[in-house]
Amino acid sequence: MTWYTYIKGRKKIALVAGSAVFTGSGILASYGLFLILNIVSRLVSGVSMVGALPFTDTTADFFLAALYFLAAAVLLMAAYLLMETHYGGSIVATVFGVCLFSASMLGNVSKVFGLMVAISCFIGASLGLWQRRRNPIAKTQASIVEEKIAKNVLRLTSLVAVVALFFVAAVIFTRGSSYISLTFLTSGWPPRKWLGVVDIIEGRATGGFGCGPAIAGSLLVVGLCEAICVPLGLGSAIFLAEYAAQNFFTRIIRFFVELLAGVPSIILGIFGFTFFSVEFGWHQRSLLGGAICLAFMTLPWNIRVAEEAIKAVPREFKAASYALGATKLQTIRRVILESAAPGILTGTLLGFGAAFGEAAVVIFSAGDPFASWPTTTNLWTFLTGSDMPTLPAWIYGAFTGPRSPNYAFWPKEQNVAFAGAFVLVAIFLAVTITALLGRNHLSKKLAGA
Amino acid sequence: MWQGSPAIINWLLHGFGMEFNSVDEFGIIPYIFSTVYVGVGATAAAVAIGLPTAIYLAEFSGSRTRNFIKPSMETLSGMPSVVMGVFAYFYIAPIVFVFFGGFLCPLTAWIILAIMSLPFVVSISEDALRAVPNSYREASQGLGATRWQTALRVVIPEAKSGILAAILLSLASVLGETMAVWMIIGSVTTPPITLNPLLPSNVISSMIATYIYSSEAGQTAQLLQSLYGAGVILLAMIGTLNIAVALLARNRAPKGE
Repeated sequence: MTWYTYIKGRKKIALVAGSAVFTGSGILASYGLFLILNIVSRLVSGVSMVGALPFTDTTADFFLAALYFLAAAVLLMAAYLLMETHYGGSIVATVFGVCLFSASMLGNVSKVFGLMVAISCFIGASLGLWQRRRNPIAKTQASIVEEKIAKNVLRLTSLVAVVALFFVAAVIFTRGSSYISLTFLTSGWPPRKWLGVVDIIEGRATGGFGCGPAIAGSLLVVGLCEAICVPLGLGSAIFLAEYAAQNFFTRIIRFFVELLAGVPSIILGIFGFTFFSVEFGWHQRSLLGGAICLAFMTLPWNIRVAEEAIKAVPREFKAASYALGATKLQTIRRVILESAAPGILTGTLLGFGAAFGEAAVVIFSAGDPFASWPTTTNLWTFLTGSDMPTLPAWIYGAFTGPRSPNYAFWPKEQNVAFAGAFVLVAIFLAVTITALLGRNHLSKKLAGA
Repeated sequence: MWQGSPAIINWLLHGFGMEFNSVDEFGIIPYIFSTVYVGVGATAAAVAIGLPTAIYLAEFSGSRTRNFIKPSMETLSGMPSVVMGVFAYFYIAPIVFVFFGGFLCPLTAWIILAIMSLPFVVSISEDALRAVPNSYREASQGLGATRWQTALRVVIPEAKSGILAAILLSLASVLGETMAVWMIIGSVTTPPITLNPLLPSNVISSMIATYIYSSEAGQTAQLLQSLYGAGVILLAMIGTLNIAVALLARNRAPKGE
């Protein structure tokens, strides 16, 4: 069945599409005619040709309206050709009509033409729907078309998340790469001595700005936090999964763990801001305080991860171990933990990545974004008295820095924030991808076992 | 073993500081309104895109597509919120400015919060949809329905409580989101009580962050107490949502057949 016979057979589309094509061509033709007349009259009267191609607002409107009409005609015909029935085509036509109308909000003339396009699409859609009502075969065909439309629309929406991710990553990597250098990664501002070793940057002349202390601070804080969370999480998970009876008490514990997971990060931030300095007399922002606050946040994640990994150990392993005469503790230590270890590792790695990027908790409890390398060598004072920045806090400082008058040596460029984001995202992606790959590998191994 | 909620402990430690005459004239009420406004809008946008995605992943997609989409979304969800805030300030706010006229406004917040909470909504909704037994789908297709008709009329009504839980949980996480909102909400001292999303506004989490960052709160006890009060209110909102979700889950469990 050729195009021509198809369109001929569907008289209603022919009506709509044909009128759209003719109107569009008519507009273009009239513009062309106007142009020719203009040129001829200027030739005749000797006026210069400079203004021969008038492109006033009205002219632009006419031109664009004509283009819209042609586009509407082409789209309508394509829609009706691709869909087997009027039903699907009607929906598509209505959607196109609405889009074109809203897109024609350029000038008053375009609005009128856009309105005409929308009305013709609506007429076509109604005619199609009317036909569907009286045609039982069309109903079945309609559901097939409905399925196709739904599937494609759903596919489009699911692309949004993926596109967003790649767009964000691409933007950060391109805008931030201009600042990355070894200087950037190791210097702080202003450079100071650290642990008695002269900072390699001190020899350089510039008031170095860099995220070195931020990276180190982040690693320290998150490392401390994981050092607290991993043992606690493992212990609680073993307790909950193996030892505790399913009674009211354990339900309360689980409820509180979920509650802790839901606490907003800013609340933990102000908690850290005041609690540690007031109650224990530490410096207002301290590494250990920040680590403990972050630990509150990460602990539920670690418990969840460990519990899931322990539950994923097949029951046969436990049964076999008991059958061989092991005690409960021996079973846990040698059988369950060894099987669950990869799962716990990947989950902890994911939690590490998430905690690394957490800003609201640490910016108020761990470090002023504009601090630099610490100057003390005593470990306890280092942990509780120094305020080193963390990388997310540093990014925020770089974001607002150019706008605050206090930091005069701060280069007023926006890309510095992106450079910090580059480092953060690079570390985060490396950790996350390693964890996800590890999880894939692990699930394949388990499936094969 | 666990302290439960640290803010309640702070509240008890620092007195019952519910100052309603803090820097904003009417107290905390404009902030409550604007926080709920931003949260509901962002959740609506996230669900509008996330629910169809979840339906696609649960009903229609093949395993290769799933294995590509799911890890991408997990990575997106873990993306640090400062980075998303920086991205929103430089890329989303100008777009909103060009098309709609508002720069640092709730509309920008809606867009970036929707993107950030999208993976969360999708994963929970998809779990809820997958929990519907396959026998329902097979019965429906045996009666002649297409896959889309099955999804729309059979699977979604069965998974309704799970999807509702997803919506409430994502609302709770959006309410508590600080860093991204802080950068793009256009911090004003008193957020306007209006339904216009193009005026710069403020939310509770961003307000607390601003005052603590500038260390003003360290000086006056009154301001600090009002910040704690605001924090308690935020916590109450989120806690209510969590309790609602827990009740939903408990209503769902006995119904298993």
